[in-house]
Amino acid sequence: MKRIKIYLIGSFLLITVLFSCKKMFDVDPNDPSQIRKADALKKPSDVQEVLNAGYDNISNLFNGRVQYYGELLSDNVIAPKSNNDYNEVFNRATIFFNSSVGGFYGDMYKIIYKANTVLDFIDVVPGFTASEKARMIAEAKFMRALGHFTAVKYFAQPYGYTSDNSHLGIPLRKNSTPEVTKRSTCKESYDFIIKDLTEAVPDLPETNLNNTNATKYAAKALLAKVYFQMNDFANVISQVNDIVNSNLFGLADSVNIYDNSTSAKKEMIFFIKSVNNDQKSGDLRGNYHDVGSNQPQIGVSANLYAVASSRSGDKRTAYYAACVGGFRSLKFDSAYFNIPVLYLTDMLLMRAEALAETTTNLSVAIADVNSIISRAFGGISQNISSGSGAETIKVAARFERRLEMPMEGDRVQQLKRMGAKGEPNILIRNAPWNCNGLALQFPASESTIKGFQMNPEGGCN
Amino acid sequence: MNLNILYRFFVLFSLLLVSAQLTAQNTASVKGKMLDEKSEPLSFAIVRIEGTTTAQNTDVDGNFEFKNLAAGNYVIVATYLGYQLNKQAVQLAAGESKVIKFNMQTDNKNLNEVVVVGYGTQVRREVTGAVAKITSKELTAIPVPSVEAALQGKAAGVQVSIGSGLAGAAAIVKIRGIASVSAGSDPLYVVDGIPISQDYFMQNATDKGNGGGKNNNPLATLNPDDIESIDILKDAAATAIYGSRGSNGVIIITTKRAKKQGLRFDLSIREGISTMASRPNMMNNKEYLQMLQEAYENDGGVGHPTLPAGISWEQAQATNTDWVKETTHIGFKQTYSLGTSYANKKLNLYVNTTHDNNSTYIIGDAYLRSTVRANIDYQLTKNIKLSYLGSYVNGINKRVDGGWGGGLGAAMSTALPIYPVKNSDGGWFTGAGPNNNPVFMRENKTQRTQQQRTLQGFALDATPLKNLILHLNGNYDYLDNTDDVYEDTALVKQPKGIAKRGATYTNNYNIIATAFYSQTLKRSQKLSYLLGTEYQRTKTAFKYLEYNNILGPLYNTTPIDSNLKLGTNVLSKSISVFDGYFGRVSYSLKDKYFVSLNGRADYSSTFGENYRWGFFPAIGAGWIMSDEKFLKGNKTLTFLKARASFGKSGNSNFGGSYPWWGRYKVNPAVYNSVPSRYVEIYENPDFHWETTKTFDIGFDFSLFSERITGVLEYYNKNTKDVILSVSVPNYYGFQSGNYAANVGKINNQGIEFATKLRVLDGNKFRYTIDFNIARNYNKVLDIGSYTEEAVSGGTNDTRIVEGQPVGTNYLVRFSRIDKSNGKPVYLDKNGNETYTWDPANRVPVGNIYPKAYGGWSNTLIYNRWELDVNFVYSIGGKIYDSSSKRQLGTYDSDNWNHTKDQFDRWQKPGDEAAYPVLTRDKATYGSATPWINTDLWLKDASYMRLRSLSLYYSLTEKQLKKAKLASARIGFVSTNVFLFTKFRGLDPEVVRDFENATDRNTSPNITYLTPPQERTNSISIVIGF
Repeated sequence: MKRIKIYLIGSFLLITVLFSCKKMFDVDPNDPSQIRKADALKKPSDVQEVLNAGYDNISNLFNGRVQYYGELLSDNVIAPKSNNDYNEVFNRATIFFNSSVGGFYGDMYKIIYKANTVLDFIDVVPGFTASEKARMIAEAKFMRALGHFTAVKYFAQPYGYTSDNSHLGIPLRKNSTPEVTKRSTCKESYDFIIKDLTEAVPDLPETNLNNTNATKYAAKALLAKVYFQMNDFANVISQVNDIVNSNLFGLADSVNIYDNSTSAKKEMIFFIKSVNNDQKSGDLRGNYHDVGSNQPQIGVSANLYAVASSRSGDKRTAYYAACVGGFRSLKFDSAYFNIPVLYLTDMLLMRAEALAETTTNLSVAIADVNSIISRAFGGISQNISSGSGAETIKVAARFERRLEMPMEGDRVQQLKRMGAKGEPNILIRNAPWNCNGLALQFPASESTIKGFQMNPEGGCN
Repeated sequence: MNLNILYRFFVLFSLLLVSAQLTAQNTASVKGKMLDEKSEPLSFAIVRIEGTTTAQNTDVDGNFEFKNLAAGNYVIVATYLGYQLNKQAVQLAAGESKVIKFNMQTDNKNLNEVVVVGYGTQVRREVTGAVAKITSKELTAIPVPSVEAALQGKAAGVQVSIGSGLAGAAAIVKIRGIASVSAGSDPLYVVDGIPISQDYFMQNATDKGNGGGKNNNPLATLNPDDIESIDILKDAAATAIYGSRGSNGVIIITTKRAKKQGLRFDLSIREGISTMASRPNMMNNKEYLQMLQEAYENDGGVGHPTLPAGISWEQAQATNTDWVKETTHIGFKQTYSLGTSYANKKLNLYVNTTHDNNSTYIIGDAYLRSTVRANIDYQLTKNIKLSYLGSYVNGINKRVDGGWGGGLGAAMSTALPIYPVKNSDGGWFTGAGPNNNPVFMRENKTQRTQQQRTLQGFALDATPLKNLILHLNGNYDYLDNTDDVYEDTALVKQPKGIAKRGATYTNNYNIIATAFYSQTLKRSQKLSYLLGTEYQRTKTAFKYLEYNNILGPLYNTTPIDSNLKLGTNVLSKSISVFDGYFGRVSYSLKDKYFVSLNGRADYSSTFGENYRWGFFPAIGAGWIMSDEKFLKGNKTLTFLKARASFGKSGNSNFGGSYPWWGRYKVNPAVYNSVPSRYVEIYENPDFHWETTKTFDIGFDFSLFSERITGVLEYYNKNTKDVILSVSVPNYYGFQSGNYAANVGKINNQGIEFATKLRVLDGNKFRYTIDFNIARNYNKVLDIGSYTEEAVSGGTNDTRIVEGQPVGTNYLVRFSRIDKSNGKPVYLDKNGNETYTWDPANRVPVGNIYPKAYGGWSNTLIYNRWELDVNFVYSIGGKIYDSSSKRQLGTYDSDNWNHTKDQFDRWQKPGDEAAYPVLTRDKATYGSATPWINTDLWLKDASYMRLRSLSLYYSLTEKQLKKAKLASARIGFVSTNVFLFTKFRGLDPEVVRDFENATDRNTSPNITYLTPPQERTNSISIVIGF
């Protein structure tokens, strides 16, 4: 019996030892490209890398999609050649199965998520200097505002659609935890965007990686665009004044800044950088560009061409060519190019229109408009007169805006803004500016959680 | 870890306590021998003393001996797998020693069979759980692409959907309905003690998981000829001992051992042919052109429409390629199996080698499998037995594209009859794109998957004390699944081709230690204990390689390193660990009342840190009612046993990629050439297994002295914490749109009935019917805060909808064809008719799982002749014929060939037609997208299939003697002989390729150009000598 006991004890002790080794429970694959959450954010440079990921997302959002989805909703282009998803956008009839639009929307929130990760974790990571920390928080807020502002422009009816802006805006994401978020009202959305940007301005640097990262003036430029969309002209003027007075920016020599010239860079307040081995412009170019008389995926409308070619001597007319189906834009014919997101021409035209709307400092407004016109004509022949009234300035600013910024997705936002402001008869390809389909439909993924309100569809055709 | 050690000491301590009780000394003994029908000894058989748990195995000479018995009356019970239970009463005086002999009869009656349960065996009579058994004869009766297909129709409640006609295609096995959504719902397969790896989404060379329209099948590497029996554990009483992995049921596979002393060879040869069980009825060129022209004219076209690939109307009229014919042929199949068994006093040896060449009706498609297995048991000392079980399989799957991947799939879709195979100059026609010439693709794209699997097991059985069996078992399961694709120069249009390789390497091992102790108490009570622990570690590595400029596939060509495509040849790994502690206490009173308690505590690395351990208990009870006074001696109801069980089991079959870990992806240089990091997968420390609580009540019965036997069973399974891989809102901002969470609740309830009728049981003429039917009710009770959009079954429009079954077809309803204009009319969500197809109007319209299913087998034996007629059937499930939306849809720019069914289309006002007006414009069908899912393509999939028809002739003893053979049988086997169904498509029973586990669970009966099953005819010869 004793022998048996020893045998039993021995064998089970052996098994126990065999089965209890700690290594047996180690399942880490030790993959260097994957870091466990607990080890991921330990030092300031780790947080900076999250910010970098956010900029990477921004570069992939303004790679063409912001531009052509906006344009497809407008009267600047014709029906896309073959792409079904784009066709739905063009018809202002997106449904939640449209995976292209779904991806477009999702990428905005990827930016916001990176920003929120920075904001949520920056306090627990040691080793920051106070200024470094403040700068990163400010960059994150800029980033979050850029994401939200893009989303609210495309996926909600515009500011002013209801008098108190109580209509639905977008889901506002204020932290990085995955929690159910309902759509805020349009007012709440704009308030949050303005708050983020306003808080960001003081702690942002004057320049940052050649303006591919957020700066004080990028935040101000974005604020100006937000206010302009709200028809809040006084605030537009004040933001643009700050930008102009910084003397950091100047108009490009060429009418087309979609190239990598030094002169084009002067305009850029915030832009997406393309280099030979990382061309961010491929999608933008791919959809608008083609060779010879081939019809590109997205062609120019006869209406835009007529406007663009209405005055002889306008250098911008050269950026159109006839092709199968009508016309195509030659704006994106460079092999690759930097993509302006916030730039001076836009600022000056906004200020001109804002000054005209508020009938203040009209001479500044006239100078702003004329700086654009004289560049387009290589002289002052078409400039508006120095005594022009507010209405003339406004009309000129709007006219130049359409010619300066075609294919950039700006046109539809302007028309919506005018409609919201109460201007009569604002139609976009025969559809009222506030028809349902002009707000893109959210992807099916948003309806996976009970209670999310999708956009109403139809009504634009 | 402290807990582990404590537990292990507890195990040890209890064993010691038990052993300390063994002190009483008695003097009587009984010994004996167990012989088979030919008076050859049966070794390793179980002999026990009735009313006690005293039991032992016979030695290699069939001897047993019970010593130290007290004086008294005993009943000695002999059992052996495949033989009838045999009892003998013995009266022993003090000090007396008696010798008895058992002459065992082979058993085809199932009440006394030995069944394999978790970590042990039991006699059917004592089993308190729901266990079905399938023998080797049934498994090898018909040629199947993979062994699991042989289970179809054989056991009630085990639903098997046969895979496509591709060689080695996986079937889907569901035991008692489906309780999982995104976690695997396949049963746990345990081969000789090791839960084997079974990933259906192993890396392919062209895609992850379903490249070329086919998933890899890990079970194709199991050789049916090696298998002695399969035991299917269905309820919690049976599966709880497998803890966190038991809730989908457990399939225990036991491989063969030598049965008789001496040397014996078994040779089995099968030769057969494979044809298509049903043939697609694609249009020929004239028909296609006529329909296209009609569509064109309906849309207002004048003249002829422009044909694809620059083909002129005249050329098209002169070209008629039957692509189905070009991609199919008669496939030849061979199986050669040679088994050698040898047993003597100490040694039991079984060696088998099988070579299987399974070519299907698809040209270029074959699965070649070579297997060698050796099972050795060696009695080292009287108390110690050593065993080795090992096998190696080399499976070569020669592949061609299938389904949406091309090949026969292209023949049913994008390969138009107006395309020639070759141009007039003799060169390949690739004008419509290479994929649309499946012959060109077959000749210029080499595809091969090599599956190498080895299973190795060592076991040590020691009986240091009487009634105490210690078992130590280590097993290793290795699977190398290497998929190679070579795209030749003509395809890639460069001087040398491109070779791609996707490989999955799975290293899986486990160690099991158990202690089993049985004791007999007063008043005919028996008590037995099983305590055990099991550790399992599985490491999986995936690799993808791509070489440019290479002359052949990687399996026979050495690549030049510099031609390796950037970013490939990176190994990614995942490791998972299970650690379990289990026990079973069985109690019986008077061999009439049985109670069994099972439990297992499981640790799994797959789950979140807040849920590392789970405990899964179960209780089962059995009552032999026919031994009670009120039934005893009843001539009609000769046996009746009632069983009931309740317990908990789990499912942890979810991914090897650390689903709960929060992980950051690090990239050294992204935009602006700076490094980045971001959360790729969100952390979920609460992620855990699914838990199923099962209640089961069952009756085993026998009427008229086992002329009719059967089982009737009811179960109710409630599963909570069902894992849903939900598409999370994009506003979360995650990199991946899916997130796994324990959110669902699912109920399965069902009734199963299985019976065996020995209609004629004479000496010469015997007729036996086996019939089973199972009805399962399945309902998703809750999916938390999610909606029906949260979980989608791949591309197949099945959804998880509260109040509906798993695998609900979620589609826009088709109402009718407007007789006035031929346009399709749909129903909106409220049931109002509309011309507009809008996905917002999708509603639950059907379910792909059947209401009832089962099998019906007939065995007729006359003298030396045997006729087997096996039917399988399925009632009430739906099939979604997904390719019909294009084969019977618009003649749009996708340029698909259509099926002849579309002849029944609307042509003029007043027409009653099955299909709407022909058009090339999606707008005519009310849609902005050209191919739309509606319930017009959802059909009743009820069927009854003559699954197999076999005729055998066995040689008489006289003939055998003359030929100096031990046994010989020759037979003819035909499979998929006939199908009764209302379904007009290819085959109402389909397993297509899947993108992921959710897809596999929710969309099995959805077809998308899936190759139909094969029909085989073969001759088989089985000789023993």
